[in-house]
Amino acid sequence: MLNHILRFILSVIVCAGFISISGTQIVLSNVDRFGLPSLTIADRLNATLFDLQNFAPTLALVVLAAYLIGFTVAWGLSKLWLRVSIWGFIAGLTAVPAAVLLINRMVGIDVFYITSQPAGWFVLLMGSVLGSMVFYSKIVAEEIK
Amino acid sequence: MCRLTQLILFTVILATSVPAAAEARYTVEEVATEFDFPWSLAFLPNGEYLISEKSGNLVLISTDGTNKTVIANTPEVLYAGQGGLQDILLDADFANNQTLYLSYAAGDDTGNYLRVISAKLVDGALEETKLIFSSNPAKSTTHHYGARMAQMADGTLLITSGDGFKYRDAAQYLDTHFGKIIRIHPNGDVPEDNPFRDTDNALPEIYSYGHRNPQAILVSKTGVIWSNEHGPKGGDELNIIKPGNNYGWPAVTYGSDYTGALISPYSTAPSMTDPIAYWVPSIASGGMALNENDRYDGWQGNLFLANLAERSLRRLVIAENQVIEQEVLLKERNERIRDVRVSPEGLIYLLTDSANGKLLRLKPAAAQD
Repeated sequence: MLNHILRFILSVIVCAGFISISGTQIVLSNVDRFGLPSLTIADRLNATLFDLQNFAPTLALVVLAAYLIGFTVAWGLSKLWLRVSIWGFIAGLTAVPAAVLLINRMVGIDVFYITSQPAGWFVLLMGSVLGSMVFYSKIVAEEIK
Repeated sequence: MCRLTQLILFTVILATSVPAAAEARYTVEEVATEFDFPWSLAFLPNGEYLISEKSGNLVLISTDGTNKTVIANTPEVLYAGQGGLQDILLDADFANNQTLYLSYAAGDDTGNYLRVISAKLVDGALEETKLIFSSNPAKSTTHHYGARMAQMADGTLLITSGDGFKYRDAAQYLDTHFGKIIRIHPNGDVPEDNPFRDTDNALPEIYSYGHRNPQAILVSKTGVIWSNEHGPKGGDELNIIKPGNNYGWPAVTYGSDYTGALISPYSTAPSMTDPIAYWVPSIASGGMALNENDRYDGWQGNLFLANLAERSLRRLVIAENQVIEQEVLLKERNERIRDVRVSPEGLIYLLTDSANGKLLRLKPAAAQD
């Protein structure tokens, strides 16, 4: 059980961290197009750390809620049909983008700015899958055995 | 009495006397109440008031505040999010031509615009209505319209146009009206001397750019154009607007996203105009007025900002176009304040922002008897 909890926490951290780091690069590439002096590596590093410190914790709460619901539903469905790894993959693919979409709809604006462009949605999707892979990796390995 | 006791007593007296001194300069009067999210206020030459309600009503209020009449033939508005019927501007020659300008959100959730009409106010109705500005392109959010207006000495109109929230990067490009201040003639034509009129791929109405959501604009008697704009989380700004200037949003900002995310690593840049003042955390200013008369002791030449998030009225002391002192007023009322205006008689009026919005007047202490 403790192992599951630790892997769940790690999956949330990986997902939020990936989206935060990638999201920063999307925003910086937009800023780069405004004709300002080119950003140095130090600027990029500082910006990335800023987001990890200020944005990632908020995002992690969303990811936590999304995974909690998504993974629970996946586990429940696996009792009825198909393997948990399949449902887990679907949950990983959809949980975070669906949660962000829901928040955007509820608030009426794109709360997470990166979702105002396709690259941002791609990053959300990748982060969501990546995080879920951390959680399901052991289960998949056991299924393969 | 020991020194410590004297010090405590002195501090207590000082602390309690400061607000008392501020309140002694005015009293707050309720002129009229029960407005549905009032947004803007105008003073008619006969002493009556016009108030726009975001839901779409343009309301005429009698001088004593007791009678209300809804003006007929107002445009159909999109009342959603931050959109609705927004600013009212009387033409500088309103007494003779009865012409006014209204800004409003039009369209629907999936495609909407900031629009401005001119019309004549005749016998409680709008006549000769003409669409003189419609923002381009359509947007799919109901946020960040800007929608404030002012008239310059040459008769041209300035209109603030917000970035639509999700189109913030467009504020840096001249091919849309997002995040711009617009300048047009009262008939909708583009002035010959607009800064980007002859620039390729630029919309000719643009007067300045790089704005987020400018919530006030005014022109002083000396011709200085003041504007304030809502920042994101932090970074509300007071700017002096000059033709062709880039005010930086979102390339430079003192704020971050509501989620805490970075918007830009820059807060200033050589090619962009810095704000005269900025506020972190946000005060969320609405309307703004410049008091150019002496009805209030010591307040001549001060800017007043109506604040939503801070629930206050800020008095800014200006010297050589710089803010040298600020005072927060009306915090004790704990009301979101949408607009502030100075009447032709020199009195300060406020609109509170709620479903039971009020028209308030600050009565100067000298006029209390």
